[in-house]
Amino acid sequence: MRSALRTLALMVQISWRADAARSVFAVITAVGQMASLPLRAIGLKILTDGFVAADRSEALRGAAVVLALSALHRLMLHASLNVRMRLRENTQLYLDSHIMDLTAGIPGLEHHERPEYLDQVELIRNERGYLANPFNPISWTIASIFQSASVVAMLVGVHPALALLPLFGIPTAWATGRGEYRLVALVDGQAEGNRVLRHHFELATKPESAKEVRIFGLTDELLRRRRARFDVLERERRQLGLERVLLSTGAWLLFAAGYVGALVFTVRAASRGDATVGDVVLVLSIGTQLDQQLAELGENVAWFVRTHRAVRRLRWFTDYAEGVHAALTPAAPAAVPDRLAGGITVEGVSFGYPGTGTAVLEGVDLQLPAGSTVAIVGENGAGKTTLVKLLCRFYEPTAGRILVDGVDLRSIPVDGWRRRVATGFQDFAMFQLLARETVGVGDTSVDDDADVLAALARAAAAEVVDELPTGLGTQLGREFDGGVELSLGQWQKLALGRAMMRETPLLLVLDEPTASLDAPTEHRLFERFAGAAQDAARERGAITILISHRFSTVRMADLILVIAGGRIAEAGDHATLMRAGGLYAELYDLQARAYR
Amino acid sequence: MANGVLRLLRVFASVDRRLTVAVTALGGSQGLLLPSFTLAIGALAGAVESGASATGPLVALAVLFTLQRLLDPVTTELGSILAREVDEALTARVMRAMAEPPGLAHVEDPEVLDAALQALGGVTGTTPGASAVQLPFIIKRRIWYGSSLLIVGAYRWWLVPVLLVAYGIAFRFLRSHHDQVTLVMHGQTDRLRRAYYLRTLALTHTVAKETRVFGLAPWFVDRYRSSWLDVMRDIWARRNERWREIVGLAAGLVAVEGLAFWLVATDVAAGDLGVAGGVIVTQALVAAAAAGQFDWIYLEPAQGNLALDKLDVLEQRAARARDALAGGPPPAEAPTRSIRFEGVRFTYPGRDEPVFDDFDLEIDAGRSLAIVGENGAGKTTFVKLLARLYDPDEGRILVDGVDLRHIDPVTWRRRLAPVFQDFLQLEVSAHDNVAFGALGVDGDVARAGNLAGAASLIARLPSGWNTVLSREFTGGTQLSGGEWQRLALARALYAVQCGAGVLILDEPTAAMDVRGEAEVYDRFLDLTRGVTTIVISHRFSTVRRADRIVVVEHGQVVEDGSHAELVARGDRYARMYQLQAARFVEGPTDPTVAETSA
Repeated sequence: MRSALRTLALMVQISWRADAARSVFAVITAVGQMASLPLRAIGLKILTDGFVAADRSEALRGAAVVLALSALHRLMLHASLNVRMRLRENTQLYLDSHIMDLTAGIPGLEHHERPEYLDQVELIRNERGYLANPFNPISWTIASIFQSASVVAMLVGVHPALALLPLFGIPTAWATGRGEYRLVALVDGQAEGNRVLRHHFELATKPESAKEVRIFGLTDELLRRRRARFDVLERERRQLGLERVLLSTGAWLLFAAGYVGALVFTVRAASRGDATVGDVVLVLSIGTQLDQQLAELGENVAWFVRTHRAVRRLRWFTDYAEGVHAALTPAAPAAVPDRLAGGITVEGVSFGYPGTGTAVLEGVDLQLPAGSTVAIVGENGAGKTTLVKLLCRFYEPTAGRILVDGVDLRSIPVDGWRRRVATGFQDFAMFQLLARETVGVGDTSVDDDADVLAALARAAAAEVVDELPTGLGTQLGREFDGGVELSLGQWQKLALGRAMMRETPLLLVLDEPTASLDAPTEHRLFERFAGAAQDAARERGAITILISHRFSTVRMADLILVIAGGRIAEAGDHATLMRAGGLYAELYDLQARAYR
Repeated sequence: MANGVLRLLRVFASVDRRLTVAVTALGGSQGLLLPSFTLAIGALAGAVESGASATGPLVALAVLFTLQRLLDPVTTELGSILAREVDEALTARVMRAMAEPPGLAHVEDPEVLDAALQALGGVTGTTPGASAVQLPFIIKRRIWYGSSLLIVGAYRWWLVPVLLVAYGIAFRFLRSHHDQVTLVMHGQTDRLRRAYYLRTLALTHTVAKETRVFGLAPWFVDRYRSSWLDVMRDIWARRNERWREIVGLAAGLVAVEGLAFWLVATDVAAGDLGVAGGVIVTQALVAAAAAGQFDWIYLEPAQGNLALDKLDVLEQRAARARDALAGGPPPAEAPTRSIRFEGVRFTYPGRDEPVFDDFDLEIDAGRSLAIVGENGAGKTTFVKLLARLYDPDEGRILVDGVDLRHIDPVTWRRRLAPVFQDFLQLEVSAHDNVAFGALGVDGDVARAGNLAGAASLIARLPSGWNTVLSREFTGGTQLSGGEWQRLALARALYAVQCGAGVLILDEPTAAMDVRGEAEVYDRFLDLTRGVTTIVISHRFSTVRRADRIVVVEHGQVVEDGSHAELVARGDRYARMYQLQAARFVEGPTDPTVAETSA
C-alpha cells in the first residue's frame, strides 16, 4: 500500500513536472466529461415525468438539461482530447529526457551489457506510453468517484436498498486487476524475446546491414526467424488472454445478476405504486451507466497496475543510477592534478566482467611513467581494452587499485578525471550529425569552427572535411536528408579528430586508432602523435597509451607492455624486449616476416 | 470514416480473415444489442405505466444485458490478438519492402526511411493494428447510431436525413482536423527522425564509451529537447486551431436536437404519442447524439489509415527499385573468364564528385587481385558496384562478356562471398553467423571456421557453436573486434565452400591480432586457390601475396603489376610499401634495405 502511494506520488510528480497547467486541466475536463452523463440521467427523468404528466413545459425543461449537457460534453471531449494528447507528448519528452539522462549519465557501462539490466531499461522505454499520462487514471478515478457518488445518491432516492447495486461491481474490478498483474509479469518475461524481434527488424531495414542482407540473401531467413519467435511469444499471450476472458466473464455475470435483481425490485415497487415510471427509467439508465462505469473502472485498474509497474521500474532505475553515482563519489574528493609528476600506477588489479564469472585481468601491476608513450600489445581477447576501460573508469577493479600521482583514482571525481582523458576507440562512434558536431562533441564547451578545424589538423583528418560539399556544415551519414556517407577510414579520421578536441588531456588513449587507415595516413598520424605526445609530456606529463597490432607503430613507444593470460607478461622498450626473445619478439618477427 | 473502416477491414482480413470476421461480427452483434435494449426499456416503461405484466420486457432486458457483458471481454481479447497479428504482418511487409529491392539506393533514400517509420505509426505513436481493438467498438457504435436513427425515423422520417447531415458534418469536420495534424507530423518525419536519433544515441551501447569520456549526456538531452520541440510547436499550433468552428458546430447540433425534442414533447403532451413511444424516441435521440463525436476511438483508426497510405507508398517505391535492377540468370559458373569494368563512371546520389570516372579494370577469373589506395579512393564502392548494389552511371561491368545490368542481382550474388570492412555482427548463434553465408545449403560450418582460424575461439565459447554472440542475451557472449572478424571471414569462406566463385576481402584482418593476421596471409594461397579473389587492404603483408596488385587513385588505376614488379618500379606502391616495411627494419631506416630484402 505504501509502495502504491509512493508510486501514485511519483506519477503525480512526473505529470506535474512535465506540464503542470495541462495536468490540472486534464483532471477538470475528465471530471466535466464524466459528470455530464449522470446529470443527463436527471434530465431524462424530468423529461419522462413530464411525458407521464402530459406536461409539455416540464418535458422541455428536461430536454433543455439533456441538450445543454450534450453540448458541454462535446466541447469537453474535444478539449480533453487535445489536452490529453499534448500532455502525453510533453510527458514523453520529460521522461525521454530523464531516461536519456539516467542511461547516458551513469558513469559505468554495466547496465548496457547485462541482459537483466537491459530488460529493465528496455521495458522502461516501452512503457513510456503508460507513464506518459499518469493523470489519466487519476483524473478518471476522481471522476468515477464523483459519478459513483451521484449514482448512489440517485439510487437511494428511489430506494435505499438499491445502494447495494454498486457492490456487485467489485468482483469485476478485482478480476481486471488480477488479470493485469499476470499480463505485466508476462511482458517482463518477454523482454528478451522482443529484443530478438527488434534485432531482426533492424537488420532488414537499416542501411548499415543492407549490403550483407542483400548479398547473402538473408531477407526470407530474417522474416522466418522473426515470425517463429513471434509465434512463441504470441502463444503465451493468447494462453493468458483466455484466462483473463474467463475471469472477467465470471465477474460480469455476478454484476448482471445484481442488475436484474435491482430492476425486478424497482418494477415491483412501481407496480405497488411505491415508485414512478420515471424511477424505473432512472434505474434502467443508471444500470447501463454503472455498467459503463465499471468497464471504465476496470480499464483504470488495469491502467493503474501497468503504470504502477512502469513507475516502479523507473524508480528502480533512478535508484540504480543514484547508487552508481554514490558509489563513485568519493567521500573526500581529491582534485584532478593539473599535470602528472610521477605517473599512473596499477597495483594488483584484477577484473572480471560482471555476471561472467571469469577474470580478464589477474593481479596486474604496472607503472605508466608521466610523460611516456606506452604501447599495449597482446592477442585478441587478452584484456588490453579492458585495462583501458578501467583507466577510463567504465568499470572499477574487482581487486587492487589504480593510483594517479599516488592518489587513488577512486577518490578523484569521475567527471573531473574524464575531462582530462581523451580517447580514440577501435569501435568508434559514427555520429550521423553535422560534420561540425560529429567532431565538436569531443568538447561540448567549444562552439568555434576554428577549434574543430585545429583538432582535425592534429588528427591529420583535415582533408576529410575539405572534400565535403558544405564543409563542416555537411550532414554525415545516409540516414537523413542531404546526408553524405563516408568510408570507414574517413569516419575513423573524424573520430580521431574528436579525440583531439581535448587540448590538455593527462591521458590519451588510442585503441587501434589506425585499423581502417591507409599507410600514408597512418604514417603521418604517428609522426604527428609522436610530436604531440612529446609536447604534452613536456607541458603536463601526459601519458599516451596506444593499443595496436601494428608493431611498426608499437616499436616507437617508450614502454611496451605485453598482456597475456590476464597478466603483464613482458614490459620494456622495443630493444629490450627483442633482446629478451619472448612473446613480443616472437610476435614482432611474425609480422616483420611479411615485409621481408 | 466509412471508407477508412472498410479499408482497415480489408487489410485486417488479408492478415487473418477468420479473426477479422469474428471481431466484426462481435462488434456488430453488440451494436444490435443496444437498440434492442432501448426498445425493451420502452416496453418496460409502457408496461409499468399501463399496469400490464412486466415479466416479458424484464426477461428480455436481463438476457440482453447479460449477453452484452459476455461479448465485451471476448471482443476486446480477439481485437487485441488481431491487433498484434496485423502489426506483425505489416512489420514483415515493411521489412520486405526495405530488404528486398536489390539496390542500396533504396534503403539509403531518406524518403524511403521516412515512409518506413510512418508506415508502422512511428511518427504518431499509433500502429495501424492498434485500431483492431477499436474497430469492433466503432462498428458497434455505428450500428447503435443507425438503429437509433431508425427508431427516430419511425417517428418522423425527415428527422433522419436532418440528423445524419448534422452529425456527418460535425464528425467529418473533426476528423479532417485531426487528419491534418497527423499529416503535418508526417511532413516533419525527417526532423523527428533526427530528434529520435539523438535519443537513440543516448540510449544505445554502441556509442556508450565515447558518450562517457566526452560527457555527452547533457548535450544529447539538450539537442533532443530543442529539436523535438521545434517540430512539435508547429503541430501544436495546428491542433489548437479551429476552436470557433467547433463551438459553432456544437451550437448547431443543439438547435437541430432541440427541434426534435420539442416535437416529441409537443406530441406526447397532445396525446399524439404515448409515454412509451416518447421515452423510446428520446432515448434513441440521446444515443444517436454520440454520432457527431470524435474521440480516441476514432483517432487511432484515422492515424492507422494514414499510416497505411505510407505503407502503400513504401511498397510502390520498393517495387520500382526492384524493377530498376532486374535481369536474367548469369552465365553458368561465372566468372569463368573475367570480370571487366569498362569506362565505369559512378557518383553517389547526393554527391557532386564522382568516385569513378572512366574506370577500366579487367579481373581474371580464378586468380587473386589486390586493390590498394588511400581512404576514400573508392575501393569499397568498387565492391558495391561488382555486387550490383548500384549500377554505374556510365560504362559497364562485364561478367564473362555479359553486361551485369542484364544479370539478375539475386542470382549473381550467390556467386559472391564478401567480407566487408564493416561486416555484420549478427546477434544469433556463432553457427548461424557462419551459416548465413550460404542459406539453404547444408555445408560444413566447422570446416569454414577452422579455415578462418576460429576453432580455438569457438572452443572457448560457453556453448560452442550454439553460443549467442551478444552479451544482451542470457547465456550470450560478446566477442572482441578481432574475434568477430574471424567469424566474418569464416562466413565468406563458408559461402565459397558452398559454391560461391568470387571471394571479396575488404580489410579482412584490420581488427585481428598478429597471429590471426599471420595465419590469414600464410594461408592466403590455400584460401584463394581457384577462386576469383579480390582483396582490399592497407596491410601489405596480405596485399603482396596476391597474383596481381592495382593501385587506385582518384577513381583510376594508376599502377598495375605483381608485388615484385611494382616495388621494382619504385613509384606509389613502392613508396607506400616502404613506409610500412621500413619500420620493421632494425637500425637506421633505409628504404633500399627494405626493397632489397623484399
